[in-house]
Amino acid sequence: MSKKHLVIIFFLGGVVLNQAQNKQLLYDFNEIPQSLLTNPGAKINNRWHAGIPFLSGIYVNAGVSGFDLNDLFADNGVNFNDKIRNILSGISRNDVISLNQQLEIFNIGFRKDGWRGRAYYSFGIYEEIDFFAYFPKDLAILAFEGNGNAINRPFNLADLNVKGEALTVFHFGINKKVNEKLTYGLRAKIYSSILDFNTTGNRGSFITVDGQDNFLRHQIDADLKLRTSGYNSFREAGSEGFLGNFRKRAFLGGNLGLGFDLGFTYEPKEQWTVTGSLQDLGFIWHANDVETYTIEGQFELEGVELPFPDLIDGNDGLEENIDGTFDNIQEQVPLDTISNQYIRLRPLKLNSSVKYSFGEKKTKIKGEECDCKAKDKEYKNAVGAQLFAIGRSRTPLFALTLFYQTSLTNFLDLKTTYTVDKFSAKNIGLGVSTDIGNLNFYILADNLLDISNVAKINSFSFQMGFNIKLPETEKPY
Amino acid sequence: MRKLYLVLGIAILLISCAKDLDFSQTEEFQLTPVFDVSLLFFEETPDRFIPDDMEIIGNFISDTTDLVISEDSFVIESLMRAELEFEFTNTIPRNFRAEVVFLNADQEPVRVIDLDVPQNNEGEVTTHIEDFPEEDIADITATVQLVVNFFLLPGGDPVTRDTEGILKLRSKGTFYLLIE
Repeated sequence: MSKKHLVIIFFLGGVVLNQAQNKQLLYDFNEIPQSLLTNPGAKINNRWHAGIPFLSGIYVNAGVSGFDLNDLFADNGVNFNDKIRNILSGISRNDVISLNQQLEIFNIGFRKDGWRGRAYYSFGIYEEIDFFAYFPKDLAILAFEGNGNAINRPFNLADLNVKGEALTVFHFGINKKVNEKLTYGLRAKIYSSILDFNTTGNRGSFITVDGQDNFLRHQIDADLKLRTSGYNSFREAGSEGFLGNFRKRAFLGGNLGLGFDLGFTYEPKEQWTVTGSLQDLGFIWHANDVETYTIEGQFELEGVELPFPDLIDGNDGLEENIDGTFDNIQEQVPLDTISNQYIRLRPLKLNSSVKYSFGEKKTKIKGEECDCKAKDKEYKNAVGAQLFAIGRSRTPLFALTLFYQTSLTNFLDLKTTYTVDKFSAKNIGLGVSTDIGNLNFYILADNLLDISNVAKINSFSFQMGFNIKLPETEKPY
Repeated sequence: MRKLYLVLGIAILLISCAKDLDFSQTEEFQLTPVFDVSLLFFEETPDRFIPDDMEIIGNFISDTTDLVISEDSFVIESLMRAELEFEFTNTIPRNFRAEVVFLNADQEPVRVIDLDVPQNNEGEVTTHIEDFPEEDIADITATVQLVVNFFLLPGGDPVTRDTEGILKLRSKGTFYLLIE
């Protein structure tokens, strides 16, 4: 029962819960203060902002490529196990399952030197869970079908490629407006790792070939490694100590890391904007509470020899040979546990955009119609393109987005996106940011075309939050 | 504000429908792998299994082995069906017989496999496939000990260390598992 659930959870891990942390809706949507987290050099127009604690940024993003819920759960009379077999035959070892979740604990920002200040500081804490796996195709086939009828077919152990982590991020950013054309920013981050595991550099194969002395020869060549950090402390703490240990590790009591976000906004001429950012240029040093499990070695087996001479002598020949064979396997392909420190790079994310703004100019102050001062304000509409890339174990994942942004009213801003990536070629997203008084509420979701039938969905991302925000005014306060 | 409610309302409506999915299908989930595994083998010439200058007669080899597999509850619970294949080559000019006896915890034989190993100078093989269908799989899962006997059948010249020929066995098992 538990095995069954594990497999099903593995299959669905991604399904229910986009596309690998691409925040195409939030990026450069500068009415939302959290856009500073995707580009510390975003052009922000607040005097200050404060996220409502625990409610300022709730983000979930999941994606699975290669199959969808419908393939697995369609009520079409096809046997469930046949569906799994169909998926297995169609899926590639480069198909992925990804899950990313973030929760802001708090987020505060303010403009230094009042309303005329050119520097905007922001800081906060957020929690993040990241899980990423390539589909372990060969291992799944071995589990579903075995090696029967698979003579001479190698099963690639490198298909096992999974990583996951939970961490807390403490961040502080400076956003500096150099002049009307250029704004740049830098955010420093301290990562506090709660839990980390990864098995990404595996190598080896299992194959059954025709034998020399016997029908079959089984060959295993393994170089597998699973690194864990923090797992040991949770195991020792047990269920009673779980919360305490979690709190300790979340708040700088575990393994620490350091990272930076960089970004800029450049407006080469009226109506044109170019932006770029790098997120999580950093690492976590896993120094304590680390456990690495390795399986390394080669082994060939044609069975167990029935040793005639030993039997004639009355020795326990066969039993000894069987025991010897098992001992030999353990000796040649040992499972070891070692505690080596390791450094893990954070998944590096790149965002960039080109935007053309047009139409009337915004009026942000109630009752004030567009007036002579309006030329300092922003245009109501914009169209543009964004490129996103994230570093992953094998090759980076890319996403290309076209977007349209508009201010419907003086308190309602919309952004719609069309994104093409590994998961989908028709991902439409919609984001809304409202300012009601000083309360900012935003909600962003993508894959809206498929959402009418969740079953067909390959990826999904959702983010919402509440902030208190004081917009820039034309007057000193 | 009305617009906002409209947008949110539509979004929630859309989120809430998943068509024609049946999640209870997971109840049907099962793994049914089939594993081919090498088992016993040997290739011997008479000088290797005849001590000194003695001549062998009758039951010249008998070996009892504890099965480690019987301690693995996962395999025991999952094993549904099995086929064991034995292939003998006998170019020694005498007929042999081999016997594999499966003993349960009470030392009672639950299955005896009789294997004729007739002489064949051309080196042609004698193949025997022993089937353990679902209803008889307990013959394997209940087995804790395996006895292997070799008999030299009467008739023909004595087998001595100088007798030409080889006795060879190749074997494999095909194991059908069901994991729920």
